[in-house]
Amino acid sequence: MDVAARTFRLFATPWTLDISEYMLYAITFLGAPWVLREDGHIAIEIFVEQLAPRARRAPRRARDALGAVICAVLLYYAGRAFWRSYAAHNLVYETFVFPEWYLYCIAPPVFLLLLLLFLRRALRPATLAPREPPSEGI
Amino acid sequence: MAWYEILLVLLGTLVLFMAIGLPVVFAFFATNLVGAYVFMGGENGILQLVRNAVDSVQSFALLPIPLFILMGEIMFYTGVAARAIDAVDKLIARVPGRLSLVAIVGGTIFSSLSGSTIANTAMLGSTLLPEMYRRGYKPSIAIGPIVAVGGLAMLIPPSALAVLLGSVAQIPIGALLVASIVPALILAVMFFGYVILRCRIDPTLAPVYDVGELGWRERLMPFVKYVLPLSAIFFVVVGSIIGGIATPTESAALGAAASLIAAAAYRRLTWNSFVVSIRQTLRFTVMTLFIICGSITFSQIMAFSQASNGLSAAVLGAGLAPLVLLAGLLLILLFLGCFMDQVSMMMITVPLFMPLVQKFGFEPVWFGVLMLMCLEISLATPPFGLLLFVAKGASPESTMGEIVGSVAPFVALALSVVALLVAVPELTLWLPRLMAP
Repeated sequence: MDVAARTFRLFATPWTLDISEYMLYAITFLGAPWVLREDGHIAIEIFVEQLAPRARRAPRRARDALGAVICAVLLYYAGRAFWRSYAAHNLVYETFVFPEWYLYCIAPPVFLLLLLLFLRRALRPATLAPREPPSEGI
Repeated sequence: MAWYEILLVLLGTLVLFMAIGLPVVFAFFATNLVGAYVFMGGENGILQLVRNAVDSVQSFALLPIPLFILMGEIMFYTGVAARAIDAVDKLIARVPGRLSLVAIVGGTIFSSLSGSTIANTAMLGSTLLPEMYRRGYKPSIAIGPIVAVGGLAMLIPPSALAVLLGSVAQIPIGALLVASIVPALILAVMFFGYVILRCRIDPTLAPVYDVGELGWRERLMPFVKYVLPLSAIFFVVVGSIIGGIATPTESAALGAAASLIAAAAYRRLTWNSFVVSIRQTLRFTVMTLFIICGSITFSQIMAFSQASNGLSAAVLGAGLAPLVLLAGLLLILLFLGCFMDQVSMMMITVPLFMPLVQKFGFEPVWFGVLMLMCLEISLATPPFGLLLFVAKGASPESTMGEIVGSVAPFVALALSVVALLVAVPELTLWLPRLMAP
């Protein structure tokens, strides 16, 4: 639409760009817990897979516990970043003018969900779907 | 701490977290949390990390990634790509290694319609490997071409990884996309020649079989009907960039729309195939872009801690010849590629390599293509080469040793093309120079 509008000098649609950028951000963050639930995030498993199946449990639990700790820290700081932005009444000046906290309000619940998922994986490893290598990467 | 100690600690922490199987995005987050706290002013550094993560993917430059992936998924899940492969199959006559050649030609065509190496390899593997084995092809000539040509999707536009590299390394994305075309075609021609030569030397690798008596019309018509119209999609994407009509993001949107229209015109676009394509696109997009969120602060930490400056100064001080430095950088990439995925490799090496590239005066687009070539090769190097696992999935009866052995000659050919591109940069740069300013 933009290409046609520009080529034929019809109308300007600068808002499409901004909307697309915000959507890319929202999709990436909101999709992250879904991909973790499906065990789809890229991970290097070759070293752990060298161990016998029973011996893999301990490092996998440690890995998931570590993931939970990382997400807990991120949850705390994402919450603070959100609160700072909310309290300061910062505004985003793009095609649309809106409070900056609209952007920061997505991250805390996402990190909370990731934390819960990591905890579930650490406490109940059987809930983990089997990894499918062909589905990783681009 | 000295710069090299900082570098060792940061990279060591990252590699350790990755090695215990933590998803790479969280390994980056963990390393960056520590790095931001130590080198970027304590809690303020961590708050900056969070802000970077939120801001990193609100980027115009990254928008082609989901669109390029969507193009490939639509072609794959609607079956349009498989029908194009079938048309190529009819076109190629009774020659040694016929099905391997079909894989190379079909894979190159699909690469020009898809930004996903996985979709490319999976499609070729699932459509051609069973037929190859039924015809008595040895694994050494059956799997190698599929894995090798599968990686071409990373080079030929639409390439999601080229967009990512351009965005992260601040290389003009349009030029990088266009510059990769000639190297990819050289690779495809070399793979083609190798298969013919190998099958002529040892005909037992791929027994010649009777393909039936087809007239030229029966051979040519499927190609005209199912392949030629698809080439319009490639020309929409590349032509709009070269002609300066559209930005890479806009060309990606045009390409995705053209793919949907093509699938609908062939009456293959169903609600189910559309939903699956969108779902897979979302999945690959999230897993790729979330790594950007996690790793974006890594380059800042490298800069704040003086690690990247220290490394640059040390390399400059060592008085290395540019060619030696270049060889070193490419070897590091190839080594990392044995263990790491492409996005992580990019995010680790770009902050360290690009200052050196600037200081040594390398043409960034040329270096970007060399980097993409190494990333492409590392898709097929053991033990972590992703496409090796895809091939294993498509051919469960083959051992990993057989797969690696089958791919090795193609890796060697790709390395020789890297050497050629280093020796003759014009091969990479002449096409971007044709682009409208």
